[in-house]
Amino acid sequence: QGGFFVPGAGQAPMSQAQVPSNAPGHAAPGYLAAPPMSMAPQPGYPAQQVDGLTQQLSQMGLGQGQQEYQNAVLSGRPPIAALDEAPPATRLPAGTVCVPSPHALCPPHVKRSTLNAIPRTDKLLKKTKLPFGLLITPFKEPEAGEAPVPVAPDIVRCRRCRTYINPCAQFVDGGRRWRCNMCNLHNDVPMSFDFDLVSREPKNRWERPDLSCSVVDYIAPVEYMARPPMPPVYVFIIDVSYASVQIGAPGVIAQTILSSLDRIPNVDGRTKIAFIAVDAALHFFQVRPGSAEPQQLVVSDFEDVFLPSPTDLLLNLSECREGIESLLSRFEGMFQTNHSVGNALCPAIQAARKMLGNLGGKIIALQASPPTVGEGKVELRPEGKDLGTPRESDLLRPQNSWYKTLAADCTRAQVAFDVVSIGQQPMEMATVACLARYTGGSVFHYPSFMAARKPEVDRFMYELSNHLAANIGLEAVLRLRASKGLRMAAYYGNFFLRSLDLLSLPSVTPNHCYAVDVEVEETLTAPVVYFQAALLHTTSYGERRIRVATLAVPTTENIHTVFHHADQVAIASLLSKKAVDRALAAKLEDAREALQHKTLEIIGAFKTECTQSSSGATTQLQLPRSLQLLPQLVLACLKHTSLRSGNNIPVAARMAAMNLVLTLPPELGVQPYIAARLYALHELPEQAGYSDAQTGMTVLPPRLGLSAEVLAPHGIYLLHSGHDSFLWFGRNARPDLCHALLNAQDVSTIPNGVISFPDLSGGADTPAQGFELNFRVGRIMRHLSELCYGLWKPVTFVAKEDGEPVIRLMLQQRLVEDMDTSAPSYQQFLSQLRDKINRGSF
Amino acid sequence: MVKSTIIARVADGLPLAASMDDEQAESELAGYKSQAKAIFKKLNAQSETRCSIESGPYYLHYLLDQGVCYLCICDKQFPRKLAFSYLDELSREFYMSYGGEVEKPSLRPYAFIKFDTFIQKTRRIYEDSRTQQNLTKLNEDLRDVTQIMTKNMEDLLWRGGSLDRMSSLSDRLRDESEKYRKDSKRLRLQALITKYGIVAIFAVILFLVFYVVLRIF
Repeated sequence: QGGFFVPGAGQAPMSQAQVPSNAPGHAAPGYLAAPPMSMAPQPGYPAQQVDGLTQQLSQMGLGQGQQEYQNAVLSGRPPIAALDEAPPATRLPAGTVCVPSPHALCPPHVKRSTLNAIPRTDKLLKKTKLPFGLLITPFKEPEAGEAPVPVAPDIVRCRRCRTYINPCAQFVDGGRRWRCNMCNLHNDVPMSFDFDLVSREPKNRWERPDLSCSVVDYIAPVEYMARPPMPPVYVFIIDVSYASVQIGAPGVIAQTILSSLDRIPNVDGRTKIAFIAVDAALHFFQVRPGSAEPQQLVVSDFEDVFLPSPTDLLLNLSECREGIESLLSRFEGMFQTNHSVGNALCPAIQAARKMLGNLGGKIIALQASPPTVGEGKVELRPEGKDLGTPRESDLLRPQNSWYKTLAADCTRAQVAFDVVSIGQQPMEMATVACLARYTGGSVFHYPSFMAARKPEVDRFMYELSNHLAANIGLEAVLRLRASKGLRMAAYYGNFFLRSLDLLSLPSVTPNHCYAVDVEVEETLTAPVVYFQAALLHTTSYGERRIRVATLAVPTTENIHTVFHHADQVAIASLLSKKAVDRALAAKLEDAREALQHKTLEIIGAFKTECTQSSSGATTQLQLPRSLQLLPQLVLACLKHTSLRSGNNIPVAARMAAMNLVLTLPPELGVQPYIAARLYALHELPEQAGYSDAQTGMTVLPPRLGLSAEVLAPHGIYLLHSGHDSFLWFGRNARPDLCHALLNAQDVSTIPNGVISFPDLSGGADTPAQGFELNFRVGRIMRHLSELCYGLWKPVTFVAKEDGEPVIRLMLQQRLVEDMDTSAPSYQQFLSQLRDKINRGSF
Repeated sequence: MVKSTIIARVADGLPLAASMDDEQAESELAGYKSQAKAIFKKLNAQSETRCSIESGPYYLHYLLDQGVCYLCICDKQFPRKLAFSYLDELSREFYMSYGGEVEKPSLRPYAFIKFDTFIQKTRRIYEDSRTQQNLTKLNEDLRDVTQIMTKNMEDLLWRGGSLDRMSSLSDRLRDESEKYRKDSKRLRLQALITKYGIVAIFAVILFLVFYVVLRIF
C-alpha cells in the first residue's frame, strides 16, 4: 500500500495554512517536522501527549499573543471601523488538518463560533460570562465568482458517532485506518480511497474533496431517501379582498410572478405551481393541459374545505405555461372591481394543504388583510394605546394556537410557508408569522406599498422575484454534532425542532442562519474541538444531497485567551437572536434587560479576571480589543426596531424585524441591518466609488460613527442599513454637489421622501459629464446591496436637515450613538455600566 | 387505475425514476413499495420478462426491457392488458430518452426523475379503463397476456424461500440415500462373509481333501 500513502511524505499531511504568521520562528520547525500520526493522542499515553501539545500550543499559537494582547479603553466614540475587520482568526495547532488546503478550515460565512478559543471547563466559561454558541448558515449560496461547493464521491462516516470524514480526521496505521476527530474511534479506510473501482486505477486520496474542503456536498444514496426526490412546488395564496385591491396589490403580484416564471427553479421540468385567490371566498384556477384558457372555480363553503377539482389545480410550470401566463396577465382585471371584504386565508391554507397532499412544497401567502374567515380566524387587537407599555408583549404573542399546530403538521408533510404582508392594514402578524417561523420560511413586510409608488413597487418586485428564483433546498433535516463534552442547548431561527440535535426544515432558504447555544458539559481534554453540521436536502433540480460543514476550534485553559479570541460580531448576533427569542416567549422588557445585563456581566468579568484593577472603582472601563465594539452593538440592538421601546412601532413592523434578526447571518444581521453604515458623500476620497485596480471591487469611503454630531450642515451623507437607505442633505449642502448627485439646482428643489435613485449616466461604464458624483454614489449603493447577497433592494429616502420630520425621525433612530427616547446615548450607556460595575452590582 | 410507477436498473436494483404520488397513495402504498424494492433485488437478467404479482388488494406488474425494470402498482380491477400496454409505452419512451445512459456505473439514485412528468402524463391517459381509446387498446390483440405468469407476493417473498430450502433438502436427501445404498451393499457383503466364510472354507478344504483322497485311491 506504500505506493498510495506515505505518511508524512511531503505532499500531504503537514504544514497548516492557519499557523499564525507571527509565530516565533524557533517553535515552529520542530513542531512541523513531527509526523501527523503522533498528533493523535494514542490510546496508551493520551494525557501526556495532550499536555505536551498544550504546551507547544501556548508557546506558538494561543499563548504567544499574551504579551501582545491589547485592551481597549471604552471612552469617547466607539471605533466603528473595527466592524469591517475580519473575525479573529482561529489559531489551530499545526497538524490539525490532514491536507494543506486553503479550504480546509470552515469559512466564517458558513459556520462561526462566538469564541475562537473555547474554555476547557464549564467553570472557566461561566467565569468569562461570554455567550458560547455557533452561528450556522449551512445553505450559503456561493457568491458571484466563488466556486460552487465541491461534491465528494462516496460517503465515509465514523462507525460509532456517524461523523462524516473531514479534513480534520487523522490517518493512522500507515493510512489503513482513520481516526474520527469527534470520538477518536479508529475506522477502516475504504478501498475506494486509493483505488478507483470504476476505472480500475490507483487514486490519490488527498485529492478527495472531503479531505481538503471543510464544506462539501455528498450525493445521497438510496438509504438516505424515504421517497423519490420531490419537485419544487409553489402555491400562491393571493389576497384579492377590497383592502388588497385598493392598494393595487393583486396586479403587482401577478406581474411579479409572471416576470419571474423563467427564474423559478425548473431544471428538469417538474416544477409545479398553483394559485388560490382569497377574499371572502376561495378562487381556484384550473388549467387543462394543452389549453390556454384558465377556469376559475369558486368555493365559499368552509365547513369542510374541499378541492373543486381533483386534477389540474396544481399545474406543471412547463406544460401549462401558456395557461399560467394567460391567467397571470388577466389576474388584475378579474378582481379589479372586487369589493368583497373578509379574508379566507385559513380555508385557503387548508385547501393548499390538501392540494399538496403528501407531496410537500412551499405555500406563499401574499396578504394585505388579516384572516377573518374560517377556523383559524383572528380578531384584530387594537394596538394604539398598548404600544410602548408592558401590554405590548401580549400583542407579540399569537392569538391562538391554530397556526402553530398547523405549522407543526405541515412540517411533517414537508410543507413550508412564506408570509408576505403588504400594506398598512394591521395583519395580526404576531399570529400569522408563526407559519413561517416553524416551517423554515421567511417573512416579508411592505407597509408603505402602493401600486402607484414606483420605488416601492420596484422593491417589492425585485425582492419577491429574487426570493422565487432562489435555489431552495427541500425536505431537509439539519443535524449538528460536536466533540464529546459539548452539548447543544438551545436553537434560534426559523425551523421545527424535531429532537435535540435535529432541525426539521421543509424548505431551506439560502443564506438563512441558525444559531445554537453550546454548553461545556465535561472537561475538554483535546486541544481542538470540532463541530459538524450535516444538512440532508433535496435540491431544486431533484438531487438528494448532504451538505457537511466542519468547524475546528482550539481550546484553552487561559482566561485571557478566551477573551481576546472572542468574536464580537458573532456574539452580538447571538445575543440579538436570543433577545428576540426571549421577547417572543416572555416580555420585551425582559429581553432588553437581559441584553444590558449580559454586557455588564462581560465587562465586569473582564475587569475582575483580566485587569490590574480587579477590585475597587475604576474611572475607565476596559474590554479586550476583540470585544471593543460590544457595548456599541448591544446599544444598537436595544435601539433596533425589533427590541426598541417606544410607542411608534406597529406590531407588524416589529414582528418582521424580529424575524429578520432571527434568520439573518451575522455578517448581515449585525451590520448593516442592526448597525447601519454611514458615509460622507461631499468629501469622498479620490478612489471611492470606482473599482479597485487589484480586486475589481468598488472602493467604499471611510465609514463614520453613527451620531448626528458627524453630520455637518454643508454635507451630504449616505446611511445604508441594507433594508433602507437614506440620503441626508445638510441645510447648506453645496448646490454643485446636489446637481452632480441628483440633477437638482440646490438642496431646496430636492423632493422630500422616497425617491428612485436616478442613474444620470444612463447605465454607462463611465460617468456622464458633470454627474460624476451620481455615478460614484450609484456604484457605492449597488456594491452595498451586493454585500447583502442581493437580498434587498433598499428604498432611498431623502432626508433634509430642515425637511419632513417623519423621515428625519426614521434616520435619527438609526444613529444609535445618540440619545433618544428609547435608550441613552453611547456615552450615557457607558457611564451607566461604569456606575453599576463600580457599585459591584453585576 | 395505476397507483404508482417505479423504474429501476435490473443489474443492481438502483431506482432510476418514479412517479411522485400526490394523493394519500404515499402512505397506503408504502408497504407495497418496499415489496417492489424486494422484487428489484431478486431480479436478474434471467428473470421472467413479464410478470404480474398479486399482493393484497393490488397487482404489481413488471416488465423487463434492455436491463431496465418497469414496475407499476395497480388496482386488481385494472385490466392486465392495459397495464402492460402502459408499461410498454413507458419503456419505449424511456429507452429513447435515456437508454444510452442507464448502464453508467456512477449513476445517482433517481437520476432520471424528470421522467416523472412523462409518467404522470401517460398515467392520466390510462386512468380510466373505459375511455374509448383504452377500450380500443383492450380489444386490439396487442399481446397475449394470458401467457404472462401470475405469481403471488407471498409465494415470491416467503414460500419462494421455503421452496428453495425444500429443494436443497431433497437434493441432499437423494445424495445421502445414494450413499446409504452403497454402504448397505458393502455391509451386507461383509456380513455374508463373516457368517458363511468359515463354513465355506471348511467345505472347500473338505472337498479338496476328499478329492485328493479319491484321486489317490
